[in-house]
Amino acid sequence: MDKKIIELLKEKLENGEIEGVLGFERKQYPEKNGVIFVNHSEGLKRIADSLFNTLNIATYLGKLKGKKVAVLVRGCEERAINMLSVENQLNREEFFLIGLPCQGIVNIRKVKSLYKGEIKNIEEKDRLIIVEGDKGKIEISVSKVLSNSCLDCQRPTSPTADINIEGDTISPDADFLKVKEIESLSFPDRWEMFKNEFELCIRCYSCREVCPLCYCETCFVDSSDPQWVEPGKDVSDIASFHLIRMLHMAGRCVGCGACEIACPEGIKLSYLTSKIAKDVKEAFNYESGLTATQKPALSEFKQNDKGEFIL
Amino acid sequence: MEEKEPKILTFLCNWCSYAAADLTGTSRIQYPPNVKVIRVPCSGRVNPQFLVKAFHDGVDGVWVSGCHLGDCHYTEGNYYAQRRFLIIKSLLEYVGIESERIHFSWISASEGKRFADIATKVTEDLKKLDSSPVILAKKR
Repeated sequence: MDKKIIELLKEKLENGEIEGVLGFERKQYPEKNGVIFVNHSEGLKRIADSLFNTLNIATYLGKLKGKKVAVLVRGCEERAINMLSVENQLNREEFFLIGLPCQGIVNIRKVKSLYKGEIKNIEEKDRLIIVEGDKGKIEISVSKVLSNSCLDCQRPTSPTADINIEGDTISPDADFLKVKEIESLSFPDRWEMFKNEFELCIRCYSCREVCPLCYCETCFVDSSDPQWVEPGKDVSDIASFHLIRMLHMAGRCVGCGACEIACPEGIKLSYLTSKIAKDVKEAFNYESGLTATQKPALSEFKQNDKGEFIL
Repeated sequence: MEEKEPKILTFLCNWCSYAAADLTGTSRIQYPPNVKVIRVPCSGRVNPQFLVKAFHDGVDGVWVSGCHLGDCHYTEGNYYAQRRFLIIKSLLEYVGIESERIHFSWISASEGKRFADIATKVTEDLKKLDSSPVILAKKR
């Protein structure tokens, strides 16, 4: 991590301006990288930048309510914090946000599909990932294993962080290429594709658990009266769950891609999240989480909203 | 084979479209019996979840109708509804539900004829599709 930032955090910790720092810790297997809370300057060296920090740190902030905490954030995490703040789940003012230059995150699933053997060690160097294991050592370019949501990323830097660290970021192309490709398919082909994805779902709800914006005490899927979605592995129920979750995400989802990487079955949830991001952007010229005051897209309206589809 | 009659779940707002349906009846204008009406206080009351649930439970099409923009009894309910409808229509089409299955309209209380016309159009649109079940429908 940047030396200047460590010095700054050390100073802030020692003079009591902040009670702790929240960041990611690198584990031996980087796919297991997790969030740590450091409250003494010695521990700061455990905080590490990594391409495998796939969780969204905003998910953890609810537990730190009322504490003055410094948080290391990427663009999507900062937007999630803004969004939570708009929805009165957090108070943005309590946090000292340090914006990291985001290089994107790596989907370990893509690494595993390129390296067939058992992985023993993964190193990160510049824009390369060096994988070692029982099938020898290979180097993979980061761009080949980048998470799908990062490919659609609009803003890799934090819009309203207290300090932004300068550095290289991924260059966002933000073209929603995959969404456009799916939109060009015929209706039966689209369903064929999504059916194959949804059929993988084991309904563990990991996608919901890692989502920074899925904070409802009782999720609609757990409600039995009304029963929106029945239990079981019928594809109609699974599809209903994912579609309704996406409806709740519309105009709120920050596109961090945590859900897709957390999915144990590798369902391409980014196809759905990118779609709603694209719709909301095209129809309402809206991007979620840019400030801590902007309401979610579906909680406001304009007199001249698009309505050609209405008879 | 006998033509299958499509079932269309219809949400009508209490103040305009439901009154329009009443007017259609009292004016003795014919419209297809396929539309099954649920009266809601406002088109803004229609949670997009309802539409997903309706398809899951086996209807062939959905139609939501409310007051014209600016005429809403609650001033702005239908503006919010419009935004939600755009998202749900686009999302359902994206996963493969045909656009003929999802309809929205604004009908005022005086437009009895228009109500019948749109009810006919919605039904005709659905009959044009082959009779395969909706992809989201649960097989029972």
